[in-house]
Amino acid sequence: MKKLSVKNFNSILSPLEEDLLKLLWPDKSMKVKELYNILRKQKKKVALSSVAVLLDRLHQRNIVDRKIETAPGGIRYVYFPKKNQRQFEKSIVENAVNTLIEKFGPTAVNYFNERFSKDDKK
Amino acid sequence: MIEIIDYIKHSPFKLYISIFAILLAIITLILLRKTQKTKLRILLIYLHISLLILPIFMFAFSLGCDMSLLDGLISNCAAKVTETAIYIGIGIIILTLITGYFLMPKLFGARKKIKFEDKNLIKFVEENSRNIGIKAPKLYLIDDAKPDAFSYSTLGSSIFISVGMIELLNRKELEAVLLHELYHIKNRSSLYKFSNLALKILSPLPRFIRHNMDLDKEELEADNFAINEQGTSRNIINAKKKMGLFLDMV
Repeated sequence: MKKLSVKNFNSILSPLEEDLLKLLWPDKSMKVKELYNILRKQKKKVALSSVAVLLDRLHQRNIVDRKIETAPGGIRYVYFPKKNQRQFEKSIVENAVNTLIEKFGPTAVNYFNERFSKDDKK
Repeated sequence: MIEIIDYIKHSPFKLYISIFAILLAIITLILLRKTQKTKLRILLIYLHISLLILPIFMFAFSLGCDMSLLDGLISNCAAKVTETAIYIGIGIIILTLITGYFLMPKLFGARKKIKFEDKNLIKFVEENSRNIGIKAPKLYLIDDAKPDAFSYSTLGSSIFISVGMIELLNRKELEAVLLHELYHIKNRSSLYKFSNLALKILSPLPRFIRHNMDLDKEELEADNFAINEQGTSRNIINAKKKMGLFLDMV
């Protein structure tokens, strides 16, 4: 997975990538065209090629996996999430925290201690 | 240099043949510029290369075995060196053919022959190959979301097509792409591209004479073939548009 830095914290997923993941997260395996049709029904302006590109990008970033399916209609990719939503969010937090500790060392650790002790007192 | 002067002094006949061969080589290049047929172009390319190499071989063989062409480097006679070069050349050609036939699918990560349940696309390729008088090429699937298709021919011919291409295009658009590739196979475009490269490496002349060897033209002709066969340009244009859209976003 692409390593998260503080700089790209707000761009982990594009809005459309997030939409696609939300559709796949309930443990679904879906084809490009199926996902495209759902997005179109949700009145999202998107082309089939864009959905294919975004899914390929998510696959390259190791967020989703895919397999080739041969059906009477032809050969298609079937995409499915590698992690469920909870695991995915956890890995983002983990990466973010690790990046902060790597970058700021003791300052970051002290900050987390202060922050958590405040939360405990509350 | 002394050997070359001696060669010219003692073998004026060979010198005339050499000059004649070089002149013919220039003429083949001029013909290459005017020829439209790919098969004839390939023939002219190899004729041009052979005519250019001929004087070098004649010179090398005329030296005989009493002197070394590469003094100090290889203790062998010039003729022997030339003979070895010929064997190496033949070896490279055989190796290229074998590699092309057996290893190309593996090099491109092709998985297997496409097996559509309805077999319509394979049937389409077989029928159209028969119509244009070529042996039906093998169809290979590439595990890639990027829409891509290409063909090559060595001992046999093959068409490679990516899953992304099959996914994005509808049946008619896919057929247009396959017709485009069939044209390339019929025209031996992959051999033409290889020959073009060999010409650029082996001959200095194409740099001085503008020759009409635009590979884009070959692509255009392949598109035109698909358009003529389908009776419409819509499918090939749409296919290119969809591919372009994908590539623009990557």
